[in-house]
Amino acid sequence: MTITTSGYPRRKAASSGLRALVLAVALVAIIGPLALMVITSLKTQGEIFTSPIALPAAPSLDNYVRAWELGGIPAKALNSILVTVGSVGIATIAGACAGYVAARIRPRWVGGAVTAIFAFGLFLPAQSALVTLFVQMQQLGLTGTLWPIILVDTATQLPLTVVIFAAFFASLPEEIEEAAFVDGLGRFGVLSRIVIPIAKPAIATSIILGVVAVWNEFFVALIFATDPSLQTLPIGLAAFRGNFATDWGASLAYSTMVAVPVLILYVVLQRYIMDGVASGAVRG
Amino acid sequence: MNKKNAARLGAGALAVALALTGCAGSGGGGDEEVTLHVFTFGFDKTTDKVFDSFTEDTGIKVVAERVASDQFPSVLQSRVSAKTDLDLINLRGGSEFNKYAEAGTFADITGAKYLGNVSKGAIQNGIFDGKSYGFSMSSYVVGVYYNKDLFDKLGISVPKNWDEFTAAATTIREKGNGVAPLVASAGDSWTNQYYYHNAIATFANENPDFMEQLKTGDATWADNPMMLTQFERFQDLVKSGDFITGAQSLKYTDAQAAFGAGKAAMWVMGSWGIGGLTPAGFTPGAFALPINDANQPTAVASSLSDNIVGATSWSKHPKEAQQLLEWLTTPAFANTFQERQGIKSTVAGIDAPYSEFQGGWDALFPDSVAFPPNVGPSVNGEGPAVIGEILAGTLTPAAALDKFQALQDSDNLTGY
Amino acid sequence: MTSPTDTAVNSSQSAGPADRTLTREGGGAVPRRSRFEWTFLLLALPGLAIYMAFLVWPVLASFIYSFTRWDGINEPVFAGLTNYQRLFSDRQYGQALLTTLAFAAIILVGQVSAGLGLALLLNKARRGTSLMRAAFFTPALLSTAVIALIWGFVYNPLVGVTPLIAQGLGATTGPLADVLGNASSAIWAVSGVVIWQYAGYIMVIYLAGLKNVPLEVYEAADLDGATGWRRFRSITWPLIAPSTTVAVTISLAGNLKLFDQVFLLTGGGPAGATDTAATLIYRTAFSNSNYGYSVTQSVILTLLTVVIVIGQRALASRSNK
Repeated sequence: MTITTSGYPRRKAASSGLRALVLAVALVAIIGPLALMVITSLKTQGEIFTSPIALPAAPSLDNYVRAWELGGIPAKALNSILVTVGSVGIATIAGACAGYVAARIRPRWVGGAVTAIFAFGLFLPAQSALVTLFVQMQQLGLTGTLWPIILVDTATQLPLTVVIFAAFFASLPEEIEEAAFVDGLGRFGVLSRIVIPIAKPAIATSIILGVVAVWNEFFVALIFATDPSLQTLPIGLAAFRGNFATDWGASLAYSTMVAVPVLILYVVLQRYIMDGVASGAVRG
Repeated sequence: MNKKNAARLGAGALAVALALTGCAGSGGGGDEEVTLHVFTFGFDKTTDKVFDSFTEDTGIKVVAERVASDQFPSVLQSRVSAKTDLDLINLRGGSEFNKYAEAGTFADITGAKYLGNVSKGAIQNGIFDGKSYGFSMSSYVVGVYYNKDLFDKLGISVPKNWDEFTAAATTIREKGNGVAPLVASAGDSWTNQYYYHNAIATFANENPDFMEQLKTGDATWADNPMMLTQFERFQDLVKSGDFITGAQSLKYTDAQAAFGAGKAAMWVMGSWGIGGLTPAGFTPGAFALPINDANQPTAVASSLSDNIVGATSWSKHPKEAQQLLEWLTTPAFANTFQERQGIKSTVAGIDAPYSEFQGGWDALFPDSVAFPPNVGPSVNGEGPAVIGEILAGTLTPAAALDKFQALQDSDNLTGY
Repeated sequence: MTSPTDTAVNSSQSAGPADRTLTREGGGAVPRRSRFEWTFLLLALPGLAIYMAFLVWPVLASFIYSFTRWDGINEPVFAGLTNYQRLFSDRQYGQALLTTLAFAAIILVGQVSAGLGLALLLNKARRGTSLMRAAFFTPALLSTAVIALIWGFVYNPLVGVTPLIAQGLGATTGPLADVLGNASSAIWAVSGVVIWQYAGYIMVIYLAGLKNVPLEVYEAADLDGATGWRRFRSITWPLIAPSTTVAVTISLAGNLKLFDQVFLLTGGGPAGATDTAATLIYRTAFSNSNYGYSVTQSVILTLLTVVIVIGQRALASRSNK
């Protein structure tokens, strides 16, 4: 990626003021609802009904305690972590390998075919196959574990991952790899020692998009949580909503706790993401 | 070199995958003690506690899994297709139960002694093709919740016919100080059906062959004159502005909360709504939706036994599953169930109160007529949406009736 | 969320250095690289296997049921093409497809204009710019379950924010008092949520595109006296056309299958006004127990999505040339 260049020569102060105003409005529109979630989660039930958008008189963590205890958050968080690490890990490794093949294999049309096969997955409605998938997992003896969720999430994650890596690798000049071949490294050696170390932006992108998708995934996790002990956080949130429907405070506290880990990861990986999200996408 | 590396990578990936699979066990399996798995859309807040005394008595553990009702059908379908480790299933009566019974989901319990503990209607609901596969755990009656204190204050007496019902609504609208006459919750489509529920039950009761004739095409929904009447009356209520603001998007729990908070004076719903109802300083009462005209006898409420429970035909612990079914018919369980769930049990001779406001509802049970259990899945599932469309003003009563029949035709085509 | 991108196109377009003859000093020809490398292909195998086994195969296998009458549990009965025949006279499905297209169009316009607008405002590096970019991206990180809860609260006619605004304006009835309950406002309200959710995502794509617009072009334009809208129309817009193509693809591929937001916010209501093809398919399968027919509806939706997205790409690549 090239370094950011300023797009426009400086304009008049009036347009600068307008820009600030528009941005402020956009900021309120986009962050407002999120702020409302956090603010409301710190209020008492009474306050929520009497003054929905005011700040809490005395912020309290009672809603968090209630959601934590009644919602079984620790166990569900562990499941969410296992599923996310498992599927994003496998999808990133397998996707990087497949993406590398797609970008480098000869003849070229084979690589094109590999990417096309994966890209097809972006259109497939996994929802219509849930019952079929369930029977398949049962035959494999995997139901009752987290594996069905991990495998299906990996499979639905792979198209995007492969596309990101294929685009990234295709944009790398091949000379370095050529030199490494001459030095006697094979395809795998080149991938693991030369290519992967410089693929950090693509890996970061793959991880953050994967984590967002898998951490938040609902229907696969719902169908395959054959035991309450296998539920992930979004399923826990839905179940909590079902049981305590009008308890807005605790529900929003639960939501906040579901959202926070992803937000933290995002802050950590943020510098890669802006480049990364775009890297797979710019060349359309 | 190349070949070797690629092969090594392939093998490595496979080994990693296998190793991961190996250690993925959820660590669930009990040693000697039996654990029964119950799958349910009900048993909400008391899920864990309701089975405790069974475990104390028998040493058999029970794990109940609850799935919210809008996701319940898809999850149930997967579980049954794959015959997962389930011993008892608790599902909705009518088309849902029939479909699974036909597929051989349940163990045959015809003639089981413990069936004698529950009401006749409860047994009847669990019969498919002449055999017993389960029984209903709860009895409901459908009618109208009303705010007694407000009715008294405005001098309204319990309506005995439709004219009195609309007159009551008008009085509340005009003198109720901003209280809405009625709350509806079209955001949960199923909640709409109680405006025509006793219209179906009463007619089916008077014409025992009607439901079968609908299936064979020998009759249509237009043959039940009360359907169109109810659609028209509902539209009149909408036009007079009798519904609370937001009725088109509220959910069931919102409606319950709105009635409880005194924001609406009446709520057309079943007796299950009393569980979790917390009236803000008033006494709620109940009456049957008076679908009769002024010169006719007052209409009775419709009743239904629902919440069917049966043992799976593939249970690994059939003996223990039967033990649990039997326990569900004992007064010990039924009293706890009634008290904790706020639902009237089907077990005979139970006296635990299910709500401090149950009186009005209990009075509706004796005269009630049963809602037919053989309404098709589309009519059952999508039918209530026509009321939502009338509420939204996008459907005329006549068109609503046509749509209702179209759903029936669709069910007939599918053959379920 | 369904997602980027652009694939076969990428790898073939960025051919670059690899197309050069593979000879080098000292090393001579490298013949093996022009041959088909079986062993190299094996590297793609683990990914391909998981993808085929747990996504492609189950979906395609379930398509077979579109030729059956099946409730999802009892024995399927072969029904030939009757499901397809029925589909063509199915008004409700037709209506749901129209609603889906309306959603896709509203959201597309909203996302692209909001995303592009934000990108233009934040393109120049200033104090606070990167913080703002990060903030605008956050809704894309959240679970739809969480988002539906937040917006369900905002729109709730009894405790929410929009009815308060309505009160402030003196309107106790009408769309603003019950945003999700009015047929006229519900589709906009749900679209608004989806636009809100992914505007930041589209912004990032445009920011990347804007980086590739060389500064000299603007300098030249300045000499010509081109400013404001004219400059945007004649210079910026054509130069970021590739980003637009990507943004449009992402938006369409995701929103033609729009399900989660609708399912969780309105369930298709009021009175079917927000019923999309995907929510209708779900109900056909599970609340109407007509699994076979729901698969038929699903097959057609998939085909339609593929046709629209490929058609859009073909159009874009023609006009980009």
